[in-house]
Amino acid sequence: MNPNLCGRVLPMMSAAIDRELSQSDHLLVQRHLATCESCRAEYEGLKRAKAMFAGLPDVQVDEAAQLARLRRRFAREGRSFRRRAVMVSVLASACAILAALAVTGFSQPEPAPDWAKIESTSDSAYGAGPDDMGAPTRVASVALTNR
Amino acid sequence: MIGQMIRALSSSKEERAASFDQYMASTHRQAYAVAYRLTGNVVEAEDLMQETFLRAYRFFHRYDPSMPFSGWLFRIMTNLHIDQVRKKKRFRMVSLESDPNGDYEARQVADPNARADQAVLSESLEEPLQLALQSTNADFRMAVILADIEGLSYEEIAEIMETSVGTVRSRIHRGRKQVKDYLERNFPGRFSNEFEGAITQ
Repeated sequence: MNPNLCGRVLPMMSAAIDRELSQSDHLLVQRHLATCESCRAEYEGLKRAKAMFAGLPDVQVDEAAQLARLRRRFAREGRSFRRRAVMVSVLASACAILAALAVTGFSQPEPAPDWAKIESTSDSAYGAGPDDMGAPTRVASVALTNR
Repeated sequence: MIGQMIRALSSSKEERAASFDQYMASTHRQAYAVAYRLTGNVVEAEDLMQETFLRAYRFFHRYDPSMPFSGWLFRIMTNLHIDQVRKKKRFRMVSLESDPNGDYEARQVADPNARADQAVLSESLEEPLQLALQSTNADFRMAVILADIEGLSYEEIAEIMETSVGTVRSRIHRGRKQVKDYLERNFPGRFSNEFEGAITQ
C-alpha cells in the first residue's frame, strides 16, 4: 500500500469504472488495484453501487393520467396568467391616466396669490423694483399696514 | 393590419404551444422518473416535474434544438430541485430543534401509500437505495442519477449541469461513495450479500 498513490487513485475510481479516464490514467488505476487490497475493496464497493442503480426497476406510473394532470395544470396556469395579464394592463392604463392628469394639472397656470395682487397695486406707491421680489411677504404686509 | 398582426401572433403562440405539448408528451415519463429518484417521494416528484415543465414552457423561446429536449429539461429540473432543497433546509433550521433524533433526512423519504399510481418500492433493493440517494448532496445525487440510471456520459452531464467534466467526475465519485458508505453503514449484510445476488442475477 502506497498512501500517496492511494490518494491519487481513489478520486479516479468512479471514472475508471465508467470508462471515462484517459488510457494512461486507466492503466495507472488498474495497476494500483492489482497491488493494493484496500483500494480494490473500495473499487469493488463503488462498482456494486453502480450496478445496483442499473438494476433498479423502472418507476411505475400511469402515463396517460399523469399527462392529463400535467395538461390540466397548464390550463389552470394559463387562466391565471391571462387574469394576471388583464390586471397588469388595467393597472398600466390607470397609471397612464393618472400620469396624464398629473402632467396637465401641473402645466396650468396657478392663480396669483393675494400678496401679488396687493403688491402690483402698491408698486408705484412704494417704488418696489425687481430687487424687492425676493421678499414678497414683507412687501405685502407693509402694503396692508399702510392701507 | 392590426388584425393580421394579432392573428399572426396568436397563430405562432398556438404553434409554440402545440410543439411544446409534443415534447412534453414524449418526455414526461422520463422527467417523472428522474424527479422521483431526486425527491424519493411521489407527491414531490409530481410537483417537481410539473414545475419543471411550466418553467420550460415559460423559457421555451430560449430552447436550442441542437440540445436534446430531455437534457434541457434536466437542467431546469436540477436548478429547481437545488433551489427547493435550499429552501427546505432553511425551513428545517427551525423544526430540527424540536427533533431529538435529528433524523429529518429519513422522514422525507417515500410514503408508499401516498398515491394509487405511484412507483412500487422493491423491498430488497429499491428502498435502501432510495434512502441512500436521499442522504447525498443534491448536486451529487443528480450527477449519479444521470450517470447510473439515465446512462448519460460525463460530457452530457456536464452540459446539463453547466459545469466542467472534471466537476462531474468529482460529483459522481463523491455521490457514489456516499451511497456506498450509507449502504455499508445501514444495510451491511444486504449490501454485500443480497445486493450482490440481485446484481449477478
